[in-house]
Amino acid sequence: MRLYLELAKKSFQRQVAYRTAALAGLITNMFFGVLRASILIAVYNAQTNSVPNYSVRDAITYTGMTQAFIGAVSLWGWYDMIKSIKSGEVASDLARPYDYYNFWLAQDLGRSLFQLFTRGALGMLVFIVFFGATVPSSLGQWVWLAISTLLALLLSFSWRFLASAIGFWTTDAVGWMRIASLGILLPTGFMIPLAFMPGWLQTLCYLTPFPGMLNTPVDIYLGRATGVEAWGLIGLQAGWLIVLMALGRLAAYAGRRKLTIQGG
Amino acid sequence: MKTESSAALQSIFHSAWSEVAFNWRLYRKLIGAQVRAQMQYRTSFILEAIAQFAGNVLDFVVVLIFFARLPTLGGWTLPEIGLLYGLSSVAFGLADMVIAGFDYAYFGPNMVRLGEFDRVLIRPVNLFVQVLSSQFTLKRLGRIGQGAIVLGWALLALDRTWTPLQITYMIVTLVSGVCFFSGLFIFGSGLSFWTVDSLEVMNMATYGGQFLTQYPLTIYGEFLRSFFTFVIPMAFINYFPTLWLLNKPDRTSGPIGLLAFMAPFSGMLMFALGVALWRRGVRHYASTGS
Repeated sequence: MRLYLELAKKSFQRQVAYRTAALAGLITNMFFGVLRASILIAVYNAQTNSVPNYSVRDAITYTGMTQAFIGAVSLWGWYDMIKSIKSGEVASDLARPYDYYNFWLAQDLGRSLFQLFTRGALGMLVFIVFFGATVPSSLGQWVWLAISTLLALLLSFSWRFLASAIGFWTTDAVGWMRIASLGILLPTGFMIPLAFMPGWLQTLCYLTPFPGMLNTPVDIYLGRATGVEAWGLIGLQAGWLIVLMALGRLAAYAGRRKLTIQGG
Repeated sequence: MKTESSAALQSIFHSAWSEVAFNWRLYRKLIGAQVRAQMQYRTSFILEAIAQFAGNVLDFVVVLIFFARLPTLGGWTLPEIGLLYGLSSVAFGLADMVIAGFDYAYFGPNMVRLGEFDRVLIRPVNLFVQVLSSQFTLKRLGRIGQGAIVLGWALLALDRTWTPLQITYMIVTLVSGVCFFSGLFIFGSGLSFWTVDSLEVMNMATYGGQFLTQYPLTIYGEFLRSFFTFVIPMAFINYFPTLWLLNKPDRTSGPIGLLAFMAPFSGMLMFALGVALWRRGVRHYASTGS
């Protein structure tokens, strides 16, 4: 356990090194947030009460939250593991006396948390101060939010690990990763809140693990899910996490038998 | 005397022409090799093209979801937005495919930071042609195809008879858009000679601009509207021409008049600006030395 904590810490520290990039990223992130919020606001201007029980302020808060999560859940894809398989570095990773799955999990968690607490939190703060995004008022909400956010990060990792594991079998894993990340933008609730979707599409999304990676913590933040409902959503996240992690470990186990190391 | 100078002129003209012809042949050869190389990894190409297509489809799915609740958005109907979206998407996709060598996300980290640009500098061939032919992202066909489908659908759904002038100007607009977005990418790779770390801000102009121009400019606040009209004159390559094509007034400032026909100038201006900065950057370039 200490080892994995150390890995997470190292990965966290590595992120600190790129401060200029982080600042540029933050500015860009804010800009896209404003764009996305403008479009949602236009929807409300076209028709007040466009979505029942979802106010303009909720929509703005939603935009701030989803922008804050982009870095933490590597929304546009995650290529570290694929690169290490392609370059053959994976050979030494596999030879080391630790669990391969936890090795990546710890590092990704370090990276995720760093992203969330710097870029994410700062961005959200700007949304709260300048654009009137809301802040959860009850302690319960904060507790659910903390649990649900951690589960969202883990869920996102377990999905990205699965997609990366394709790299054990084929050299086209980058393409698969792109599909795996772009393909879930809608059901995670990033493109548009699930509440905006027609009922049948919402149901379809909730049959997948993807809302748990983004939409769930946002709904909890907004206070749209409280009490039993919040616990239910958290339970759903945990359930999917167990499934995806089991599949990921299985893939890693099968993959290391299949793996051909490239290079020389 | 007279014949001498005209002969000199002719020889200058001749050598300029043969240089263009040489560069064009070289470009075609290198791009051909690029395309063949990408087709070697057939599965990879197909996957990436699908991802490009799907990524773009999602943008439009969101528009569709909005319109499931609304009759109009910012005073625009769905086919009208489709036209705006299609023009913007196709122009951006084409630029992104052709100008990929100047995509700053590739140019900055590889050419400048790793010093690969050294190799470009020592070859006795036009720098611009070399960089232009160093990449050609065929997978963007997925994005372009999706944009073209929406554009085609919008043109049909609008159910109008388009005059030859309108059709011509639509094509002019598209080409201007390609120039404009290419100029932005070249500008970004020019910036990378000074900074690689903060290049991400260029995404606001490129990807942000493309995202923004998918919707009518009227829905944005005063700041964004002015920014994309006066600072980065993107409104001229998409929004104003579309207003003219659809006979729509600009809700905020009345009749648009000649604003609709600024697209070629705006496109050329951005392209020239990009090239100018890039050339300054080349002079500024100091190798990483490793």
